[in-house]
Amino acid sequence: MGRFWSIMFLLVPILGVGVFICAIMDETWPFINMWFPEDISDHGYIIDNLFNTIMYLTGLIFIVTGLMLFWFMWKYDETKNSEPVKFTHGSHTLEVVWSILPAATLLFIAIYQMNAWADAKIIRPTEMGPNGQEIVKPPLVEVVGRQFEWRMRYAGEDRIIGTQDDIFTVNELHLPVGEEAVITIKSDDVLHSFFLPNARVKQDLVPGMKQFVWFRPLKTGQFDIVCAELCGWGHYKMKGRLTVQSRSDFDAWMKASAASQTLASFIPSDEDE
Amino acid sequence: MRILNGYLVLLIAAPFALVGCDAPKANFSENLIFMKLQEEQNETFTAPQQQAIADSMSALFGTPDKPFFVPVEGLSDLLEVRHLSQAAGPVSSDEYGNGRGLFRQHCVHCHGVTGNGRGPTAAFLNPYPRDFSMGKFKFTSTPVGVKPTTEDLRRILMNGVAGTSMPSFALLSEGEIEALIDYVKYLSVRGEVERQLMIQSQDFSFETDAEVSEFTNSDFLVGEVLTDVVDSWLMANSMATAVPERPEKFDRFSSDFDAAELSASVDRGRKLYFSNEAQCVKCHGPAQLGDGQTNDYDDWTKEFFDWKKSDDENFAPMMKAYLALGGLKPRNILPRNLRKGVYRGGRRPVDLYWRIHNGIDGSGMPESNKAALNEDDLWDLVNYVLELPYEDASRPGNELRVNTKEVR
Repeated sequence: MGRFWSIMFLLVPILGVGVFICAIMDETWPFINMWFPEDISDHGYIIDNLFNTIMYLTGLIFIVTGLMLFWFMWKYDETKNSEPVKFTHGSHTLEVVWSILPAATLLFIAIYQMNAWADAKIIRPTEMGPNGQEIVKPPLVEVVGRQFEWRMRYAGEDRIIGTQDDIFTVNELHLPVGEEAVITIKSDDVLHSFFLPNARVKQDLVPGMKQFVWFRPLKTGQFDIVCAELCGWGHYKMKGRLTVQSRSDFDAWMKASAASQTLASFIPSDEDE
Repeated sequence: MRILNGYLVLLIAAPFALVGCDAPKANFSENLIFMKLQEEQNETFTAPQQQAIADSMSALFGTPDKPFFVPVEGLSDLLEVRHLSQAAGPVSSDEYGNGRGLFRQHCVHCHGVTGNGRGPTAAFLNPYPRDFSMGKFKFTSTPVGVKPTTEDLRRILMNGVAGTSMPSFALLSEGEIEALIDYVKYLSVRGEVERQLMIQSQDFSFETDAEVSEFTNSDFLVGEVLTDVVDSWLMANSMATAVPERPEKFDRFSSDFDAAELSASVDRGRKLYFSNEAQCVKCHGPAQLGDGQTNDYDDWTKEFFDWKKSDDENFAPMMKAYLALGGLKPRNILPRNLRKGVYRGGRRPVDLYWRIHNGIDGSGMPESNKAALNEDDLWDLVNYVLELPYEDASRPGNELRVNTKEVR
């Protein structure tokens, strides 16, 4: 075998790093549009930073490990070494170092991400209540995942979901820009995952569980809603559309949706007769 | 080393060599269930007879990869032929990036290549996917027995059917939706023509070539069979039921909304629900849970399954034969649970008006009693049905009619 396999092992860190660099540069085929999509939320950069920190940390360890694997295979190749194998009882210092270093790193990650996790998953946004006290902000809309569509139920004017003034849409989620959007998510059938790539929001939907996600969109435009949990045959086409628009556009859209939902007359057109 | 490389190449290439890259050619399947039904009542189909029907079908409609439509009068009002090639065939895209093979991409795994509602995933769904070949559609703006309008089909594609496995395709482009609507019409016309040919072929003899050509000539196929089916579709667009305007005072989103008026209307609707005139309670049940009667079957099942004959000694082998031909295991059609707030045909008042006024084709839901119920009564019923999901479930039910027997 010679040193063939040690060269092969060296290729792993080289190609691995190469792929990542191409992907981050986002310019060369086939690595176009493979890195992060545009961030439209106010908390997105925290998630991205967390991702990058962990990626560079593990990337460093990946490179060092890859190089060491190569180096040991190269140096101690059977065909180039005639000396017999030497056994030792190990080094206590070394063991302490390689226990404490990873432990400290893990502890750092655990503490470093604590606020990001709490803000994204635990501490619900609040608002001023009618009596001036701080209350938990009620959800604007309920999103129900179903094989293979997203059904939205807006709370309507009374801001309570499950009342007669709710507004229903399918696959179309509209949100006002610059306002903290609280969304209830549920599943109708199987596991789904509500994923807004541009808002850095992702939450699994578990049948029978009611969960909340929240974020503040900062940019207007149309973005994807995708399902990020294999949910069946049509998983790949379980798409929705997130439209972020100004408050006035949003109100107009709600009004138009309410009007089309309460359509209560039909006159057959003359041209068909 | 070299040997190892050789094995590696072999190992990687083997699956491709064995399986190949081509998918099997798609074919329209014959409606064997309907053929068997005809054979039950008449004679067995002979080989030349079957051949003549199959030849006529491919002459009229082409194949799933190359569908076409014989130019008949009014065809341009029914569908655009170029839509068919866009919706049919294998999934791909043309040089401009427009989707091709849309039906196979989005619909076929439930509705099947032939549109008979028996795609690979159909048996796992409840309710079963629609079989287009009967030419019956449930949620239409037209009366029972009349085809749906183009708008009806579009609405179903855009909104999906809540409470069933039909999802919304609202994010497809306008052109793709149009193409799929036209392809559904094409499959439905095709299915109905096949049924007609099977029925009418009984009057022909297929012993000599001359007799066969009497059946397969276009005067008969197009002039008598295809045109009839196409005409029934052309009629539909002008037969949508007009819906008189619901008074604004019932509209929660309107400035004229009057809660007291709505609540009075809901109470009237509730009375009607239990009344002899509307008889909703009979099927939807005294608690509106859809448990009034649960023994019926829909028309697609009833076609080959008659539960009244279940004591017959031929019944079990017959059922076995139909299921072997691809029939789906019969399941009861259940009246809707009105307290769930899930409206399959749409939740707009106009949709509910159509459901109550026209009935639901193929489902057992009859049209309303026009002699006893006027449009105000229908709006009362619509308002009641819209409010039911929010009604307190512990509210005591109405007294049942004197001659009603408590079953459980």
